[in-house]
This record gives sequence, C-alpha cells and structure tokens, in this order.
Amino acid sequence: MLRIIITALRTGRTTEPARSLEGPAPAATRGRPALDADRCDGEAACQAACPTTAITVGPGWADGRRPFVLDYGACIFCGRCAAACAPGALTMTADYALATLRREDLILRVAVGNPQRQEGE
Amino acid sequence: MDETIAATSVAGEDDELGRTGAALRAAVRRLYQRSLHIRQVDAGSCNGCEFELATLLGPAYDLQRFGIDIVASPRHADLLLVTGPITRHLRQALLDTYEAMAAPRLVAAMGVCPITGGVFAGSYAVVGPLDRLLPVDVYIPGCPPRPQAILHGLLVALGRAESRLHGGVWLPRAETAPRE
Repeated sequence: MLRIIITALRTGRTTEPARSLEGPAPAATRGRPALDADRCDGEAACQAACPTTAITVGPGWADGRRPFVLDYGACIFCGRCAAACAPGALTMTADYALATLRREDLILRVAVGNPQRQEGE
Repeated sequence: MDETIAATSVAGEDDELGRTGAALRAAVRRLYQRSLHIRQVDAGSCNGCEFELATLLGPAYDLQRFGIDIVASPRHADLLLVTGPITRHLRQALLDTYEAMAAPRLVAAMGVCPITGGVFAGSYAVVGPLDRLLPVDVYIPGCPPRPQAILHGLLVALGRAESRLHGGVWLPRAETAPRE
C-alpha cells in the first residue's frame, strides 16, 4: 500500500497541459495531406488513388489548368494520394486539429496544372 | 419527426437570416463556454472514434478540467456528438435523441463518417451525411480524429479555440492559446 502511494507521488501529474494540445504533434502523426499547387501537374493520379473520393480533379482543362478539390471532410489520412503523386505536390503533414464551424471551410479548391500543356494530350 | 424541421441551414453570412443565425450561435457558444455536457450517439460508427473519445476521459487528456463532460441522457446534454455515417437503423434513434435535448442545443459531427460518409459513403445502409438530417454546429474531421483534435473541435464549438482551416487552407497557429 505504502509502495503504491510512493509510486503515485513519484509519477506526479500525467495530464497533458492544455497549451500542448494544439501544439506540434509527434512526427509519426497522420494528419491532413497538404497540396503545393505550383508543383501539381493536374494529372489526377491522386484522384485514382483516393479510397474515399476526397479528391476530385477536373473534369476538363482550360488553358492547361483544371480545378482541384480536396475535401478534408472525407479524407482518412491514408497517404495513398501522396504516394501516387509523381511531382510530389501532395505531402502528408502532422496537422490534425481540423475542426471548423462551416462545412465549406473543410474543402480546398484551387486551380492546378501546367499552362504549357497541350490540349488533347 | 419530420425531416424538414431539421433542414440544413445553408444561409450565407451575408444575408439577414445568416447574420441572425451566426449571432444566435455565438450567443449559445457564450452560454456553454464554461460548462458543456455531451451526449454521444454512435450512429453506425466502426468504434474507432469511440476509442479516441474514451481516452479523453482518462488522466492524460482529462476532459472534465475544461468543464466538458459526457452524460448518459440527452435531456442533460447541451451538445449532441455524432459518430458514424448514420445508418438506416440508427436514423430514428438519432433524431429522437436530438428531439429529447432541451434547446438551445449544439450538434457536432465527429470523424469523417457523419460529415461525408467516409469509407461507408454510398452504402445502401447509410442515410447520412449528418447535415442532411440535423443542423451541424461543428465539424471534427479525422479517421478517427485524435483525442487532441476532438478536444480542439469541442473548444472551437465553444468559441474557446480558433478554427485552423479556412477554405481548406491551413492557417498558422494564432498566438492566443485557448483558455483553460
């Protein structure tokens, strides 16, 4: 009994401080995939790899650009998009605190692609 | 219960209805800022979210120090925390739970399942997403969200922490840390 009390006293407080809850996560944490729109070639390999259809690229091109839509409300952080992305535009991050008050805030919409791309390729 | 009474509010913040709604929600958040009681409903979840939620009650994250607790009855609850993609069987139970709560009440969608269906999207057994059935106040994505992410979501719902995603763009952490 005494030993238990001594152990408890030695252990001290185990609760995470409130300020650390939003702080940097351990490196292995699976968080949201981040897009570097400048490196994206718009070839939509990520869309084909995504198991929850969180990523929609296109349809169609306009002046070598096409819309890229990533819905964090569907993303399960599996990392397949980042593995499939040849130019390395999609990377997995440790950002996990993604809560929002509005549904639209979860959806990333950007135009991606290469303006030099030839039509009908 | 008629589904129309809980129709999703898609009013923008520009029009009058949207402004009134935003002001109301801010008032409700102020009301619950110090004490929030949660009723959690598993609407077809895989239990991943429940495991993460259960750790919040343990010594490491200690939800109670934030004035937040999980209660056994919807009549005692201020916030309805929904996990799972809303299966056909759980739909009525979920709506009944919402009806049993006293107004004003908040609804949180936890995990990607109630937000879009996640890995269950498109199944014949799924009637979600949640915002088709109930007005959702806070979205907590993740599959599952880690305990810190759930806590962040609850604090965002209460106006005690800032949302980090805006239009899908991650904003760097604001200097103001959440109040304990």
